[in-house]
Amino acid sequence: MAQVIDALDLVNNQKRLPTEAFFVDTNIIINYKDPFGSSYKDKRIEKLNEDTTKVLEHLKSLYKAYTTLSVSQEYYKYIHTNSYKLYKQTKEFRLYDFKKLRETDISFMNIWEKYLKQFKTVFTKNFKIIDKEFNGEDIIIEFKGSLVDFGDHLLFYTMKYEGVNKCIFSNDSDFYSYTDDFFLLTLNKKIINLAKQDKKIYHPSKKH
Amino acid sequence: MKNIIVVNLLKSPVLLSAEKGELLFEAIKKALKSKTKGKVIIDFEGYRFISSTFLNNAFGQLCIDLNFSEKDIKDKIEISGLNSDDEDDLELAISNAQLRKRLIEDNINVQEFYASFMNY
Repeated sequence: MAQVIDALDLVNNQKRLPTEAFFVDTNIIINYKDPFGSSYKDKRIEKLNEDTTKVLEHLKSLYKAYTTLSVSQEYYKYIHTNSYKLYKQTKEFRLYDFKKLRETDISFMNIWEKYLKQFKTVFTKNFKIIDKEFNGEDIIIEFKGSLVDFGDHLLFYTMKYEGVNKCIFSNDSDFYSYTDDFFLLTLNKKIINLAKQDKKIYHPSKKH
Repeated sequence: MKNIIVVNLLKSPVLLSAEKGELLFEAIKKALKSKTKGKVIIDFEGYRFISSTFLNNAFGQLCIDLNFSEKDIKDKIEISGLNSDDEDDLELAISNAQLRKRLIEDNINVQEFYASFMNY
């Protein structure tokens, strides 16, 4: 079962992570890079961006930060659809129109290049992608879609079979439902409070 | 030319908060208003890390509040001391601010727009 670690408490009080590395989920990377500047003048998201950056920069300096191709694919989809929506000021993503903009609209092409550049930097310089050879059938068979999303499952599966560093940094409460033993590092107060009630809070011991 | 040494101005190498971004924005505004020729140099030497929130408030605001275009920023401001990846993030913050400005000019409720599209 998940043992929950309060990420801000860990960093503010310079406590040790119980593993040498941790896996990072898509929502953390989105909160960290804030690719569309959506935090601007939104106090809640500004605080989230600030705290996520503080935690990640601290942890990356001391531990190895891993992620997966599935996370990069989710992040790509996020910038793919929202860059179009923001540029066109629309609620609806139109793939054909996106491709046309990408090929013919100079102004969109310029900004799309910037989003892509940041995407590549994130997944080549910030986090090491852990790639394992899995039997695809096993992944599908083990997937419990009533509890978690497929992307969560792929990330969890990789962490589980990496074997040593069973720690995921995520604000997604779906991970709390896993019964396997692992550490869930989070900034999500609801998860932290629930874990306190369920006595599933992990108290990192010694200070650095 | 006028130099702003960011780490000295903000008394910290850690550039995370909106408040610090706001302080830098005000310093840039003041430097631009003072009657000196040439660019204002923003020197980030000695910083440790920087957040999107900080960049949005320090530089994005130039576009939104002072109506600067990307060209205006290039003509009036020179950045030094940032690593290349953070420089790219700064450029992206400015481009995002231009898109936000367009939303405002087109009378679109900006908070609602970002809230409904950007949640993950």
